[in-house]
Amino acid sequence: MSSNRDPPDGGGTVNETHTTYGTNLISNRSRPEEENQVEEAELKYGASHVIHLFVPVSLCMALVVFTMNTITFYSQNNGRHLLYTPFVKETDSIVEKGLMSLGNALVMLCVVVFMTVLLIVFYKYKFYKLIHGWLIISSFLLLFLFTTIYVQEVLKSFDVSPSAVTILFALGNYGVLGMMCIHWKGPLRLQQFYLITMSALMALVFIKYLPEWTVWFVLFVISVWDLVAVLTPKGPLRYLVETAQERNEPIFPALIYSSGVLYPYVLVTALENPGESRTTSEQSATTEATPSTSAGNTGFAPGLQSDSKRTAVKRIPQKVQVEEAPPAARNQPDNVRIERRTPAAQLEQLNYPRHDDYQEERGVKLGLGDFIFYSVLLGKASSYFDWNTTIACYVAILIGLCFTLVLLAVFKRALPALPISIFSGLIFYFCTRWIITPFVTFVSQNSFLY
Amino acid sequence: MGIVLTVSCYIASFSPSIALFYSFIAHDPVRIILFFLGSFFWLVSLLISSLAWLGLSTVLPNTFLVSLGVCIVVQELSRVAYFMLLKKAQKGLNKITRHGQISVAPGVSDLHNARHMLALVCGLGMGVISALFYTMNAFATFAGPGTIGLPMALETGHIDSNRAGKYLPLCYVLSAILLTLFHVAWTIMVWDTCHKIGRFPTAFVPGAAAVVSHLFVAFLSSLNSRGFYILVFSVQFLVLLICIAYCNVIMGGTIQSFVTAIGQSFVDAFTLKQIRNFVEERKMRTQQRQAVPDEPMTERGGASDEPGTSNTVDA
Repeated sequence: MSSNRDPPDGGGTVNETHTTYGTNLISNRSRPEEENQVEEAELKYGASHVIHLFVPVSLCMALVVFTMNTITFYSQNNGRHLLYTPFVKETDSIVEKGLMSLGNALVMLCVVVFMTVLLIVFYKYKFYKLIHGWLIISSFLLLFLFTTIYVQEVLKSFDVSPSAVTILFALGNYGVLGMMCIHWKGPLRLQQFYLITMSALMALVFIKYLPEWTVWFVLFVISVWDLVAVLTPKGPLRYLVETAQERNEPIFPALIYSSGVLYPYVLVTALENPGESRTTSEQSATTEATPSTSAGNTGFAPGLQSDSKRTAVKRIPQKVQVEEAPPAARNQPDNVRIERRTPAAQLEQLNYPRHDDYQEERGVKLGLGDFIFYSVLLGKASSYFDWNTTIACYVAILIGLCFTLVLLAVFKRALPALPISIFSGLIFYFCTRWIITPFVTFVSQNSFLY
Repeated sequence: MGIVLTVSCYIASFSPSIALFYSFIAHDPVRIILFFLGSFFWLVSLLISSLAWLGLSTVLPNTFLVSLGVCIVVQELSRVAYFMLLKKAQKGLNKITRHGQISVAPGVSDLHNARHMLALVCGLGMGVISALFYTMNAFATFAGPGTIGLPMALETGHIDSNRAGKYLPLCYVLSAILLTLFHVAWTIMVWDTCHKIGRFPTAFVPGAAAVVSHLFVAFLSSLNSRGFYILVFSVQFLVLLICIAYCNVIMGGTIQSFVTAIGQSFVDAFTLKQIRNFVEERKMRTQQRQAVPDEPMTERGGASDEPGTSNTVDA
């Protein structure tokens, strides 16, 4: 199984937030009034999109933190580790610990980079069947195997023992439904639910199997990699995006969370626009990131994630046309609708109504990898039984996400969502743990309000 | 059992904040972001004061009171910094927004008209996170195993700072409520000073009042360690009431209107006005089949409602 899995999914844990901005928009902006309106709309929709992302991110984090605090299975390490973290010797020396963690993180990074490159190679030579097959297998594993383990631990820790038949029936239905929602079609909420749960599961696996200090180094290294892969001119993710643009296809479906309202717009852009290419690239980036993590024990999970991303992308078109079209249509004149189905080139020739542009702008997507690594950070922070740290990290991550979205509005291109959030999360984690908490305990021991 | 206690503690401590959040913040994404930004600013101020504590403790022998003072001052300064930031943002937005157009971000671009509402939003963010910092670890320990403050501890007569015994959860709950509402009131006061400074000679009064009451409340809470719980909390709530009344005056109300608003809120609470309104609205909606448009937030709404909410909770 694992051998099959690995090749197709190269992936890293790179996540990106993407807003798609129509390139045609710029031409429309000749009149100042319109520009104002566009800016205002950006602000307004930007804000509500931030909230649309806040909610799922918070839900995912809440699930992870709740699990970490109630189910000891995930907060204890029984000595088993991922294949990617070879240096697990128990030691008290800080220097040695640091070096080993750094080594682990670098090994993981190498795996991620390798997988990403592999993915790009597959994509470049159009081995679509291979990639899709791999994604389906990995999501299958995540939905069935990992969920089973999770449910088992939950039942154990709450001391509930239902019959095996009940469990099998429930798990089977859950998994099959998940596969349908992710790869085929299903209600939007359900799909979002599955994406969130899967990223939470994945995050839990990381927290359990990564050695103590390695987690922090991995978070740091992956954020830097995210930055490099998305922003450098020769970055692999960027290359992927460009290739997708050249081929003019909604590409490589990645693990991407889109808030419900956005679906139609995202879809539209993907189908029609040059602007769409960006989305796809983003998606692809996320896919890449996920696979990398999937080696070793956790290998399944990453694959699954990427799977789910893919499916999500696929679904989107269907959704847009079937269910979501009406809301989109509301804003648009009829011709826009027609345009949707026409190829991108033709569309460009037509003058887009401004509404269309708005819709493109509205599409904010967050890679599932972002969900996973935010949750890893928060879950790890909560595993020391200090709620102050958890809260501080939570606020820091959300503010980082806000800031990333602001930058997104400024630069109007795909941006990595990990670096700012993770860095601020890390800063506040260490500061809170070492400086703020002693101070706060000191003050409240003297029963002072402050 | 412990978990039930924890959950009820959370519900009791944060019901005022939830009420305020639900009625003023939840419907506007910009406000939600500002709410989180407020908590972030508070966090940064706490970080700075902890750093100061760390630095001072290497220099001076007994730094506790000094660093507490620093902490309070830094918190007030962070409010000022937040105000500056919003002022800048508002200028930027005013450039974008034309006259006569409906602003897309009522919270930010109408800073002049809705500045107290904005102060409420940001202050609530600060208050909620400070209350969380104050209570979360204690509440987590309430969940067990073992519960602090059982009567047993009282019988042994062991004196520690958490001497409240079985009333300890109540003390934490009351402190959390105090903190959240105080932060709202202080933010309104400080921002009023920031807004008017340089234009009125008496502009410094609200800000100074905020700092003084903050210090005073902190000082009062220190008496808790000697066991004067009832006295301390009644004085603190009295100070809170005065602060809220003062905020009401700042917002353009009078003492008279404040008293009437409190009376009205009691009447409303007893006659279940919310539920009546809700039912009536439902009826209206089903009759008209029309969406009810959002009412624009006005200062008056904030002024009359805020004391009402806090008071119902106190009662």
